[in-house]
Amino acid sequence: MDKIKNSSSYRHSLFISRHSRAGGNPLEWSTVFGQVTAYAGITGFIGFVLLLTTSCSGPSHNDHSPLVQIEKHSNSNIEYSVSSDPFTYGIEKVAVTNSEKDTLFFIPNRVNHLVSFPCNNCHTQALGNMVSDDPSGKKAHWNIKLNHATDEALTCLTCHSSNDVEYLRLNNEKEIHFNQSQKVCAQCHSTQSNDWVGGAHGKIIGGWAPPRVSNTCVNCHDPHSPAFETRWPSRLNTVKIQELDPK
Amino acid sequence: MFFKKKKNVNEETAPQHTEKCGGDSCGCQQADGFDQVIKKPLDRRSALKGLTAGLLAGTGFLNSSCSVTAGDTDKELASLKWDEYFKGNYQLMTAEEKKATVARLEKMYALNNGGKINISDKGAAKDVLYGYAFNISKCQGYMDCVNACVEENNQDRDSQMQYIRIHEFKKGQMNFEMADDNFYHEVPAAGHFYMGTQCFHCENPPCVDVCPVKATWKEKDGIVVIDYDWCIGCRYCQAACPYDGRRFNWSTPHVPENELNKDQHYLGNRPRKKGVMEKCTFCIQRSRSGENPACVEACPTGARIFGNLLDPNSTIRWVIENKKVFRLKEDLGTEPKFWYFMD
Repeated sequence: MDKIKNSSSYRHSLFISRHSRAGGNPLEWSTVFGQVTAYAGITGFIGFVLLLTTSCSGPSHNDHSPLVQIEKHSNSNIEYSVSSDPFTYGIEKVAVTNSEKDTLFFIPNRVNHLVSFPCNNCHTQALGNMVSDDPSGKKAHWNIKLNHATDEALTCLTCHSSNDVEYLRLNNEKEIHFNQSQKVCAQCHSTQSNDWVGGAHGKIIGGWAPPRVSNTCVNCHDPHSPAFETRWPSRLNTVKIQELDPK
Repeated sequence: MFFKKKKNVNEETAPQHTEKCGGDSCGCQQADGFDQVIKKPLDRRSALKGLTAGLLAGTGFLNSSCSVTAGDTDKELASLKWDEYFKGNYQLMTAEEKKATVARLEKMYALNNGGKINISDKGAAKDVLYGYAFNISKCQGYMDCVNACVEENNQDRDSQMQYIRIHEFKKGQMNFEMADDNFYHEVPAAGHFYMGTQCFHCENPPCVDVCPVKATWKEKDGIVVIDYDWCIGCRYCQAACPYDGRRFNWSTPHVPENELNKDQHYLGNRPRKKGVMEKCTFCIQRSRSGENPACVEACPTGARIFGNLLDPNSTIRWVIENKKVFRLKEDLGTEPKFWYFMD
């Protein structure tokens, strides 16, 4: 900055001195020249000092940091004038609770969406009695291929109760309703489960405003084949492609 | 950066402040758009200039409004256009003025296109500061968010304007110059990861600082918005944005009538015109009624998280407090309210 100022003043002083030669007393003008250069030097110095002081204090990050705002203005009892309810209309909700039975948030009801639930519409026996090693035997759910972990880790009876076909099963042999299936998943996938309860994993449906409604594990992952296939993007940037490669 | 003015830019208080002291007379802050245009002291030259410009614009309106041959619709349209032409900056409007301009815009749309649109002027709620988190482990490059954004926000279809960019990175680096934004293959591609960018709604937005007419500002709930009727299209904001967050309408935006989203907000997805800026508004028309932005709703992976930063029980707060997060170009001091994180 001081350099710029100096050079412009210098050019200015040159301009004056050239005129001084054209007419008038050259001695008189040379003192003016000296004064102008001195003046330029002083302004340059002031400019330099200003530059130093302002650039060091710089833009204060804290004035505008959202983290500071969070610290200063957080409020755990916000009275919202909006709600996510209108956006989850028609979704039957089931509460997710913690160990103290406090409701944390909601998930969509699962059994309403299971095609052939309840199972006793077809099955009269417990699942444990239907297990057979005969490879030629007919399978009720022939289309389900278990593509989840390895055969050594999982079989049907790891998650489905062997006593009552309507229920899932936890590792401690407790039976659990299909609407609480996330508890079955959480036994192995505890990291994902913690992220899901916190809100970092899984999709929140409806709105950001309370009450929170999140998709549960099985809304996105097929429990029998939880990984996702590759697919085509839902759009291609055709204009950009044309720009890059015109016909 | 070095020449940045040492001034506490408080967007909320600035307009009232200048109004109270009557612009530049007391030397407190620079005059805003209204003061610059309406209250400026007139000399003969600028008065004549203003008169000529006004006459030029006015004769067009007058021609149709006073014409014997023009129909009632034309006259009504001309009168609405006249009022719209001389309205002020949205930030300085009173609640009644906001309602009036919204009503005029709705009426003008009805007269021009025969349909009905709803334009909201809903303001920021108390105790709300919007924030966004993006999980780069989860994003698969499906581009569903881009489609949803375009449909929701009525972007120009002809130029395929998009607020969101999905960048495909080869694993091992995160260099935006090496990223592929126009990938043309099944996703996710092996050995690649994906990352979305859009307007980050900085708490210290450089785009707002450079606007010469105060047509863009940060709302109380943290959303950076544009008054499309006050923007002069100088594109300073586009140059100032370090994140490529802003878009310009080089031609009159075109959205087919049957694809137009008719639930609109004055500061959001209402139809724009040629020569004005636009950008992501966190879907202001949705978010201010408690709904998630269209990109969050459309993302099938749950990579996008939106919420209130001031609510300790919100999911966005949980992500910031429990995951390892980062923001882009933090060293610039722009303070984006858009965090990236990994599983």
